[in-house]
Order: sequence, then C-alpha cells, then structure tokens
Amino acid sequence: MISILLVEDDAWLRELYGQALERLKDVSMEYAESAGAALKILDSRSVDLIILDIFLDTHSGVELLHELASYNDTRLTPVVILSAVSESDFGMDHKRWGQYGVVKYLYKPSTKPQDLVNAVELHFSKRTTKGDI
Amino acid sequence: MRDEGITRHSQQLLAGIAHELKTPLTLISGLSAELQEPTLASRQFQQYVQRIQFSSDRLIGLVDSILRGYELEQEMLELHFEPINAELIMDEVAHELEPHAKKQAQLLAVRSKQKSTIIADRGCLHAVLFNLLDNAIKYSNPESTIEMEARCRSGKAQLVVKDYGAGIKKSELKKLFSQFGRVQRPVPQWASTTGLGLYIARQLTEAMNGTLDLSRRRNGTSFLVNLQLSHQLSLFEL
Repeated sequence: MISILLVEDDAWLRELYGQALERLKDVSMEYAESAGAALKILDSRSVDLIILDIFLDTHSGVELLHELASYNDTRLTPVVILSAVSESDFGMDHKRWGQYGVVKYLYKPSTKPQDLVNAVELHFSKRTTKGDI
Repeated sequence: MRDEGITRHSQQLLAGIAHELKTPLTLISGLSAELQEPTLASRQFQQYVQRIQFSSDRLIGLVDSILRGYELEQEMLELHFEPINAELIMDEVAHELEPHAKKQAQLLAVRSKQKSTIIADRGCLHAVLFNLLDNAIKYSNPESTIEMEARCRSGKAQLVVKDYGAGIKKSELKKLFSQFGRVQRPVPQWASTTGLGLYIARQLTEAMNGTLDLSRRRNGTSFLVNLQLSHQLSLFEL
C-alpha cells in the first residue's frame, strides 16, 4: 500500500484531487489543510509521497519544504508541488529540487485531477522500475 | 521614476488579481473534468455541479468588484445612489458566499438591531460587502462564526463584518492604514498576498461618501462600513 499526503488549504480542491487519487489501486490518502497539520501527521507516520500546495494559511509550503528537508525521517520523502504559482514565478532552480525532495512541479490551474493521478502513477512506476519500492 | 512606480503598481495589481481568480478557475476546470469520470456517484455529480455554479458566481463577484475598483481609479465609475435596505443586501451577499463558508464549516449570521435604509450605489455596496465577507471567510478559523450586522452609530448606518480569526497585528494595522491613506497610492504590498478585497472595499466605500474602519479584537477583526442613512434625522424605517 502506498501512502500519499495531500497538503492543500482549500477544502474543495483537497476533496477534488483527493478523490481522484483514491481511485488508484493500493493507495491510502492522508489529508492536511495546513503545514502544521501536515507536520503533525508526519510526526506520527511516514508517507511515500507528499503533494504540496505552496500558498498555505499559516506558514507556507516553502517553509514546510525546508522543515521536511531538515528532518532525517522526512528529508528523503518525494514531494510533488501543486501550486497556483507557475514554476517560473516560483523560481526554484531544478538543481535544487533534489535538496528538497521535489520530483515534480504542477501548475494547479492547468492540472486536472486526472493529470495529478497520471503524475503520481508515473512517479511510482519509475520508482518501481528502479527497484526503489 | 514615476513611470517605474506605475509599472510596479500595475504588475502588483495584475499579480494580485490573477492570484485571486485562480482558485475559482481551478475549481471550475477540475470539477468540470471530473464530471466526465464514469465512476462518479450521482450524489457527487450533483455536488460538483453545485460547486461549479458557486465557483462561477464567486468568480463573477470577484471580477465585478475588481472592475469597479479599476473604473473608480480611472474615474470612469458612475454611481447611482438609491435607498437600500441594509439587512436585505447583507442577506443577499451572505447567501452568495455561504457555500464558501461551509467549506471550512463556518457559520454566517446576519442580524440587524433596527431596520435601516442607507443611501448607496447598489453594485458598489454589494462589491464592498462581498469583498469583506469573502476576506473574513478566508482568514477566519474553521468552524467559527462570521457575523454581519447593521446598526446605527452617530447618526450613520454602520454595516459590520465581524470575524473570529487570527486577527491583524498592530504592526500590520499601521501599515494597512498608511497605505490606504496615500493619494497616489500604489497597491499595497499586502494586497498581493492577502487579496485585493480590502483595498477595493475601501476605495468603493469612500466613493460612496462613506468610511471603512477596522476594529481589532483579541479574538478577531471587525470591519465597519459607515454610510449615510436615507433620512438624516428619522433614522429607521419601521
């Protein structure tokens, strides 16, 4: 079973993307509406993938990325960024993606739920091919 | 230097507008795509259709208020003053934004101590209340109540949008008001991060000869829209 944590502050978007991902076989979803709620979940269990919105209410997804990279048990967790900020505006150099575990950047307004599902499937199929899981 | 300022102003304004519109647009796009999913249960289908409808309405509300703000800046806005029942227009706005509040299990409560009729431009007043309530919903705690109230203060009508959120820090408050107060003001820094709503709401309120004030409370913020009553001396319509 693959576990995915979806961090998204808009309840309807969380539900929309989450329900599409739940259609995947052998996937168990966890949800967090804020960076704080995500850290609470990650304190108690590890996940195989984090899907992260960048603009969150209290502290931003960028701060969460930094925190995740600073802890031994989360620094290797792959992250898909799902953001309303375009990749060029976000401005993180691809060379630094690895440092924060970022494996994919998706621009939210043009990402249909099925696009996210496809990206997640592709990520895990690559990892399976490499023998990571 | 002035041109540079205007360009930066325009860029900030555009960035703020674009960001505001992205959430409802993303929802409309994503939900519409999911309607074609064959495994979608009929109950969910209905729910998604309602959410598309609401997101479209919210988008229209946001675009409408942005356009009014723009027209005002360009001195193109024509105001049509008329008597308006304060409670009814608050009810109308609350009804429009109720699904937005329900997302976070928030409750909207509209109350009025007296029936008051105010003199305002209907479209502008709607945009002001829409922005204030939209903002309150966005920054209030989940499961909290957001109150709207019409009352009378010092011979004027006061429409209140009261939230129970994290509140605004004193330092932020000073910045908020100094930025508001400028004549040739750029879009304030916070507008692109906390939304254009307050900025536009204040502009439109002032255009209607009113004032928009803010009252900090320990457990949240109250926005106070002060406008003229329809009868200066006979304050309430019974």
